[in-house]
Amino acid sequence: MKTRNLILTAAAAFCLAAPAKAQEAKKNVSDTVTFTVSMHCENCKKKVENTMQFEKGVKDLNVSLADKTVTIVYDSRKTTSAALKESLEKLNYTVEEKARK
Amino acid sequence: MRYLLSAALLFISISAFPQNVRSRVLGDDGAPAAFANVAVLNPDSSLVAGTSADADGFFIIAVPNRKFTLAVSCVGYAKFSAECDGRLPENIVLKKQDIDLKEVDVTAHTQGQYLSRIDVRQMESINRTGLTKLACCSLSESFENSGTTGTTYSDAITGTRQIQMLGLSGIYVQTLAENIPVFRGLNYLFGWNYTPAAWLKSIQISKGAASVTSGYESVTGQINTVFASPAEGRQFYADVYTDEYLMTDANFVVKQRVGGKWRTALFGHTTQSLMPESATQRHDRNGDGFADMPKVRNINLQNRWIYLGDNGLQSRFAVSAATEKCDAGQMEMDGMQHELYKTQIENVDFQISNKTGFPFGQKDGQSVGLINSLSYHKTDAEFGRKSLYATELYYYGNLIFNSHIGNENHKYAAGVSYIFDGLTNRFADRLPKNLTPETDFDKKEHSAGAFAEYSNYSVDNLIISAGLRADYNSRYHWLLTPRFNVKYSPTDILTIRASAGRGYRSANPLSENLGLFSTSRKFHTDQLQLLDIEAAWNYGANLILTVPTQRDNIVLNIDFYRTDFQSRTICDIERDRHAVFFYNLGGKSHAYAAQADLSATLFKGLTFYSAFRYNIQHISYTQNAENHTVESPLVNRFKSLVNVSYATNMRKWIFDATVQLNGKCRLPNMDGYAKTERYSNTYTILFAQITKRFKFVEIYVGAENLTDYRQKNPIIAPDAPFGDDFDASIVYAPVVGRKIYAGARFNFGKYMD
Repeated sequence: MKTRNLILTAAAAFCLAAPAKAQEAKKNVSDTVTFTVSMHCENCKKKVENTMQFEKGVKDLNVSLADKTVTIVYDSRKTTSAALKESLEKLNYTVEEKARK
Repeated sequence: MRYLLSAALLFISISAFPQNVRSRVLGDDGAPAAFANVAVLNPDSSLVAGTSADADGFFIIAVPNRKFTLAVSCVGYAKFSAECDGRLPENIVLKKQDIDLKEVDVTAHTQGQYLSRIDVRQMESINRTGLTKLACCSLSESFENSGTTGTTYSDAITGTRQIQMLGLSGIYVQTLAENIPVFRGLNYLFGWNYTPAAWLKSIQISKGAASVTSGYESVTGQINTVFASPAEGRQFYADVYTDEYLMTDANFVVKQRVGGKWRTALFGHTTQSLMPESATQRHDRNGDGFADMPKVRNINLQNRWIYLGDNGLQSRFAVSAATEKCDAGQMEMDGMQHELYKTQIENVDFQISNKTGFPFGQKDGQSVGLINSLSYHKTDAEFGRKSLYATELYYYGNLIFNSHIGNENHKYAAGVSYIFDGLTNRFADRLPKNLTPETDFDKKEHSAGAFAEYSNYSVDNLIISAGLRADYNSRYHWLLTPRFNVKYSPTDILTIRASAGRGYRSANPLSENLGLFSTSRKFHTDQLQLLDIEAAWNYGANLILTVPTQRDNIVLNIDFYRTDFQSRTICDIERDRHAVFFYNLGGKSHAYAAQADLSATLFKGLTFYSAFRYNIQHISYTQNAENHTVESPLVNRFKSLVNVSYATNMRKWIFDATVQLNGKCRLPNMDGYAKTERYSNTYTILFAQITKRFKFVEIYVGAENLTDYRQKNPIIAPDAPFGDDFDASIVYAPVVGRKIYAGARFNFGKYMD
């Protein structure tokens, strides 16, 4: 009985702790970066979207043609803002990191 | 070749020619908004042109001579957007605003179809997202998710799909490929197969009175297809599709820039039925001895060229060729002694077209456009002992001058057109009871016309457009086509439209009723050469309510249209179950169509679209000078559909499900115009598809007709196909049941510009 209680307590503690830990881990690895990119047309927007969404570590993406910005939410364990900037530059755009949060 | 080139050079379009205009962006404090981003957008939000202001806020941008949206943004200022009409304000004033980077709008889930709030006509657009919601091998299959158009089947043997709009057959819709008339006359039934959805960028479906600039043929509306642009997307596209019946489909698109001014795209398509003959159980699930779907071999090629000159001249050439063979009918079984009923259709189609436009004179926004198109279609078809050998040569030439009176609040388009339509039909029926020898029904029409259309934008939020054309047709003489459209948007959330207009159509009853060849009915063709041109008035109104939400808009559309025929070709299959009569409408014929649809993004990634439409059409049959008005057979009284689409972050996984509820339709009487009315069942069809996107490829699996609904006994008297009662034309539901399919789409190579 004692063993059973111990297991149940351990299981409960794990269940409670796990999401908190996961949340903490998630919080730590997600980062957001905004680049100013020299895009000029709808085709550029599609090109950036189609390329960047499949880059390693990219979790979310917003491309604004009106603002000429690319905002990327990424997993900092898998990539860096410098690597993302380089990927954008490979598409023959002038890229400048605008703001970070 | 030299002649071809010469002819090609003669060919020439109507485009809204961009004009460079200068303006300035200022902050509300009067200081220039340096380096502001300026974009000119189409009604569908696609970009026309983009630029940046200089340090003093000045910029020059090319704007089209029509309505467009101007979007301006600058760090530190609120975004600015305004509807403009061929011009820009002298100064654009932006409001100061603090930057809040928390408000990042993540990649929006794209709706597959949307309703225009800018165009004077009611218009639904289906974009690439909509075109990939289902397998959509051919254009006719692209409308399963559309509330506006529906599809029906011509007969139970070939399973050829036909479209319907406003409760009337697709023959009353004018179909255009980049504003050039296509899929008409002899090509009406099969043309839909020659434009694979994979080749297209978008489809625009407009209801009600169309512009007079494209001719007199539109009665219920227009469908315009736009092909993938050689200046957009990756250089290479390829896809492959197959289903559980091994109906296999493949497409490719290759784009290339040639020098500084030319761009080209080559499109290819093939459909092949790969199911071995031995797998008879898979071919005939209902056990009537007839294959449930035809064996198809189809190859289409198309080459499109765009020339963009320095002086604003723009020219687009297209050449296409298609060949199709379709085998259907009874399957060979062991021990069969009698002659088999076989259907064989061979089609050859060839088209060449050009659209050219250029700025004309000193006036801003003034231009001339010329369209030339030549097409040839040949159909050799045998249905048991009935046959039709037909050809059509069609030329369309249209010259348009676009300008304005005083200022751009008073625009007009005027021009002239010429059409030649030469049709040959050789019909025969060798059934002993019918014995119609080979008989020719040929038709030649020359049509020359002039038109003018005036659009008034002088009152805010109101557009009034009125057009008139007069054509002289060598067969039907003078045809007068007035059309009128109005759009009023009293507030941002409400758009109201009304339209009225007349349309004409020269019927080709044999090829347009090819489904009736799959019967033992005797064709009474004595009236064929005496048929009038079909003429109808169409009136309608629609209302769009757009309620902005945090994520997207909730869009509610309600519309109502009525079509009144003044003259119509009646195809009477109800007087006698063993006969078909063609004659001019003696009494009245009209159709009503009402529709309501709602679209919304429920939460990030989840979109919802629902449509309900009610149709009813009446026609009058005439016998011995007595008219019998009945509800048109085989037109569903209502149809509703619900599409739910969920896409994960960045659309890497997409889940689509569509449920269609098809209402009952009246079945044709088999024993004269007796009032014993029979109706079909109401049935449900379920579509579902899952798509996984990778960088260069997307893979999808899906199912059509998941609940496996099939029409019971779609063929009457299948055991005696050469007997008196054989009839495979009364089809209101799928003959083929559940169909599981899978496919892959590849996009690779450099990005085009």
